[in-house]
Amino acid sequence: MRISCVFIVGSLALSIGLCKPVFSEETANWKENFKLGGFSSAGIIINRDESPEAAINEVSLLLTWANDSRLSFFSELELERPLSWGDEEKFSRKEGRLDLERLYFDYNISEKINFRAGRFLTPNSRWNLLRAPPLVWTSSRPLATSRLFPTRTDGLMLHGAIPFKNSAFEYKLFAELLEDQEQENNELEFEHVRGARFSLKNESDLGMSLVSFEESGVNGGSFRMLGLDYLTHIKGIEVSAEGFQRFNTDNKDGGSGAYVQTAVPLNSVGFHDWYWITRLETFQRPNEGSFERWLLGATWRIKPTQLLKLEFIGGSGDQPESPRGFTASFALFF
Amino acid sequence: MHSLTIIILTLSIMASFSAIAHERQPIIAVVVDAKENLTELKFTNNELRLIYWRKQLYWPMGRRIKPINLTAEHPLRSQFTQAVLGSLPKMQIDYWNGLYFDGISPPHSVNSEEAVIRFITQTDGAIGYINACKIDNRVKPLA
Repeated sequence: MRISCVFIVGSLALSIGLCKPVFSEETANWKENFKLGGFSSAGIIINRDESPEAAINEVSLLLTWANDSRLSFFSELELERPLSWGDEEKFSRKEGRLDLERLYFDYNISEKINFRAGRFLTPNSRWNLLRAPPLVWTSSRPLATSRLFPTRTDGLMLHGAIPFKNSAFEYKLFAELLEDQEQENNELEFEHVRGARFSLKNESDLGMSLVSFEESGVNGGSFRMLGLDYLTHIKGIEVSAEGFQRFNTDNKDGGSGAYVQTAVPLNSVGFHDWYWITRLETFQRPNEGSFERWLLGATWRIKPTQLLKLEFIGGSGDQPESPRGFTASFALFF
Repeated sequence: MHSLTIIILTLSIMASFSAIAHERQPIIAVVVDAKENLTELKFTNNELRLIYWRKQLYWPMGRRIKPINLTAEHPLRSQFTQAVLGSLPKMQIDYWNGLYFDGISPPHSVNSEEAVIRFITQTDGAIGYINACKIDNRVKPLA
């Protein structure tokens, strides 16, 4: 909570310091430059080993501000699990919590260089950067994209896009300045995060990330991580894959993980806007052993901004973040 | 032999229609306000792609770029997005949803080329595209 306050106070200070004073006749424009949107998802999980549960998983608000200056602002405020139904067989709001997922200012230095300050999603994985439920084909997230590296960073970033042949070369260089002091119960703790991501957007998307960080806890240590990600379309079939390899600076086991996923349109068999989803995952963390997961599912794109997802997950080993069983969910942007 | 002649004739007719259709495709001009200083706005085709993908948000002098699109159903939009972005609007849903998640909206769209011209003349930093035959003294094409 303290870190959220620091950002909110910092945001206000920056707004006042960097923006010209708002006079009465400019008040309308000032307000018009804000845009509010968001997304939400709800679903049920029927675990193989536990009792079924249902929940509104999140309601997230996206607030942006941009006028004709070089400065812009973005924030994502998430209400996690505002309503859930589980063991006690009744609806409950006690799991609900408010979380400031992102809050940053972007300042344009030149057309190819932008400076970002605040809390942002750590740019070391394609899935992590596009993790909103209406953007991904499945309700569950590959383990490799959530338990090997910090998913968000409080700090600074330089980023931009440069034309390269017939594609766009994008870069992001980032470093942590403040530690996240608001940890959830089972959340992994990382610090001294810094790294880079380079990606090439063409008919296929290719990304590479290099990150170094320290992890706290019994499996902790200093790590360097290489991540590679790829997305392409072959005859309408979306194929995506990511792989991560961590290297412990003490030459101990660092951990690794990868997944490959396909989304096959089912239009040709009469199911318009339905996609057949297949995913294979592997994941390994020091002293935790290795896990495999397979996923089979079907996703219906009801509208461009709405997805209905049905999936079965199986595999080896228990991981609370990737329960085996059946999951159904609905996600939308609003 | 008779069927082979019919096939060849059919293909010739289809090819002719295709050639005519191709010839009739309008020439697209990328335009800005007639009062703009063009030396400030020089860019390559690849940079135009970045502008319409909303990856490049600022002109060199720090003004915000405001690209304007025609609606997805407009034939000139299809021609432009195929040529510049390499895909049809329907294939870009995932991309724009991804940008929305980062607070970036796709270019604003309007119904007609006249509306494009009016938007450009009334909006600082705007850029758009129209049929080259419809250029008048309110806008000027970029080289």
